[in-house]
Amino acid sequence: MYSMAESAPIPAPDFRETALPFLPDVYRFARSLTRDAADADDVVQETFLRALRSWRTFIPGSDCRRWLFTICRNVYLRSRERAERQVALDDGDDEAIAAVQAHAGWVRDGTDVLLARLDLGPAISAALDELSEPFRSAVVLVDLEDHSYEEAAAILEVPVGTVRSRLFRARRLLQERLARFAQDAGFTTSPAGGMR
Amino acid sequence: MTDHPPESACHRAMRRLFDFLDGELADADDAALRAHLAECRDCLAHAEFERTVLAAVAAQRGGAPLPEATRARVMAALEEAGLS
Ligand SMILES: [Zn+2]
Repeated sequence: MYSMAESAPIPAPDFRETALPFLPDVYRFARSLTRDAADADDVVQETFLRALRSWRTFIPGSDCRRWLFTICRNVYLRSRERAERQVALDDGDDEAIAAVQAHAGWVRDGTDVLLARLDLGPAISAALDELSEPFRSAVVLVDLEDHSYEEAAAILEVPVGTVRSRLFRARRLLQERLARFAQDAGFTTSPAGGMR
Repeated sequence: MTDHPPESACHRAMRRLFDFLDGELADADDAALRAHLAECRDCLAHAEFERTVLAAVAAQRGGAPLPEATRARVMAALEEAGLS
C-alpha cells in the first residue's frame, strides 16, 4: 500500500545542465573584473564551488546566469582582501554633467584634437586596468556585458540609482584617463620634443 | 546660499545624456533629447564625444574565451566537492 507521502519530490534543477553552461560567461565576466587570467581562474573556480554548495538556494526557473554573476562578483570582491571602499557618490545626474563639462574643457584647451588622434582601443584597455571598484563592476556589467541598469542593479544587489551614479562616475574616470593618455602622447609626438 | 537658476535646456539634456545613449529613456524623454540635439551644436558635440568613448569601451567586449585548462580545473574541483 502506497502512502500519500510517497509522491515523487519535485526534481531539483540539475547543476550540470543548469549552471555549467554559463561557465564561459562567468569566465569572461571574471576576466573583465580581475583583468588577469590567473586571478580569473581562481575566481571562476571559487564561484562554481560556492554555487554548488548553495545550489539548494537557487530558485528553479529563475535566471541562473544572473545568480552566478552575483556570486562571481562577491567572490571577486572578497579575493581583493580589502573591503570595498564606501565611496561617496554624487547623484548620477551630476556625474553626467561633470563628464560633459570635462569634455567642454578639452575642447577649449585643445585636448580634444589629441584625443581624436589617440588609438582608443589600447587606451581604453589601460584605463580599465586602472579603474577601481565599485566603478569597474558597473562598467563591466553595462558597457561590456550589455546589461540594462536594472539587470546590473539586480546582480550588484544595489538600487538602480546607485548603478547609475557608479556607472557615470566610472565613465568620467575613464575619459579623464583617456585625456591624460592623449596629452602625454601629444607631448611625446610634438615636434619640439624631438630627440637630439 | 544660492538660488537655483531655472535649469537651462542644455543642462536638462546633458543630465540625461548617458541614459539616452544607453537606450534607458522613456519614449517622451528620448524624443525631447533628440529634438534638443537637433538644434544645439554644443550638446550634439558632447553627445558625439561620449558616444565615441562608449563605442570604444564596447569594442573591448567579448574578449576572453574559456581556456580548456580552466574548464578542466573547475570540473575537477566540482567533482571533488561532490558533483555527481
Ligand atoms: Zn544644448
